[in-house]
Amino acid sequence: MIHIPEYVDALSFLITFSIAFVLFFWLWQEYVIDSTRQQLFELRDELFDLATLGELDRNAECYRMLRELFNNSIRFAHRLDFWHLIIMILSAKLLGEHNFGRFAKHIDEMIRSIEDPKIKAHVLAIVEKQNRVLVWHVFRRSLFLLLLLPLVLLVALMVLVSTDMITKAMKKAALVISASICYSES
Amino acid sequence: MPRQEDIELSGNQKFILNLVDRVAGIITLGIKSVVTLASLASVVFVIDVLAEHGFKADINVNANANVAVYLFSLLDSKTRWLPWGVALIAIIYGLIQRELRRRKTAYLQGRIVRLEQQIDPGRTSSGLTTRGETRGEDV
Repeated sequence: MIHIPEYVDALSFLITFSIAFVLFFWLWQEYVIDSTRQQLFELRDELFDLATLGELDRNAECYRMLRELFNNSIRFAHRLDFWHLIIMILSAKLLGEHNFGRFAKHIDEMIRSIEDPKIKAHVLAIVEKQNRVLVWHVFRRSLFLLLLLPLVLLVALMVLVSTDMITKAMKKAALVISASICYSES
Repeated sequence: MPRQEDIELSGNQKFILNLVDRVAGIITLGIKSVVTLASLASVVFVIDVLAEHGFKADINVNANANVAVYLFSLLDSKTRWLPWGVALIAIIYGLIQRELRRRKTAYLQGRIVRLEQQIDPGRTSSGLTTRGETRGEDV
């Protein structure tokens, strides 16, 4: 004799699970991708406006590379998630590529070579915002990271009080993300 | 100033990284497909078991084991269906809003591109569709 209510409960759980699965892995993912793209479009427009005002040379390598970086970030935002990053880092190590973030470092060097300190600070702020948007994008897309959130917050709070480890970790994550986008191809 | 070849990965490295990227994408899609199929199969299995015992219960006239009665009692309960109904309406509303946003994007982007090209003839694009969606070949 089976217990019918238990089977009905199981059916109810399965339907709920399926709906939650579709919500997170389809609707939520698409929303996060669209939201990230919108934020990146806004930052790319900010850079465009800077050049229109004559503060940045449109033909300079710095502007062209930043524009390409934004274009690639927008185009490949759907491929950027936590597991892709992990796999990318592991395969880069397997390839013996120890300087994975060199493209992003090069962009950083070019921005720092801008002579006008006000414009340099503005461009750096735009790139930092872009890094934050992409780190947040990876976080929001990962169920694993979202579930870890309470634990991460607790540890982060403890670490934040004692060291500047979070800032360093954010910078490192931003380097890897930028590199991963730069080397993406259709 | 670093040379271009110092900044970029070699062709071989790019190929392997892209290959790994694609394989990772296929594995992720595979896992999602397996979970979806497993969920569907489980739902079918449970419904099958319930239907079978529901039929027997009808013959035995056992009110407690009568699945049909039990399910109808669930359906009948308005309080149980209210949150599902609200959630469903919210999802449909969200999808309609998204469609509106995409239509608006398609409507505006042509003018924006033309105006920006007047300012910067060498303007480069993100490569999304006119509606702001991922291109088929990039998926």
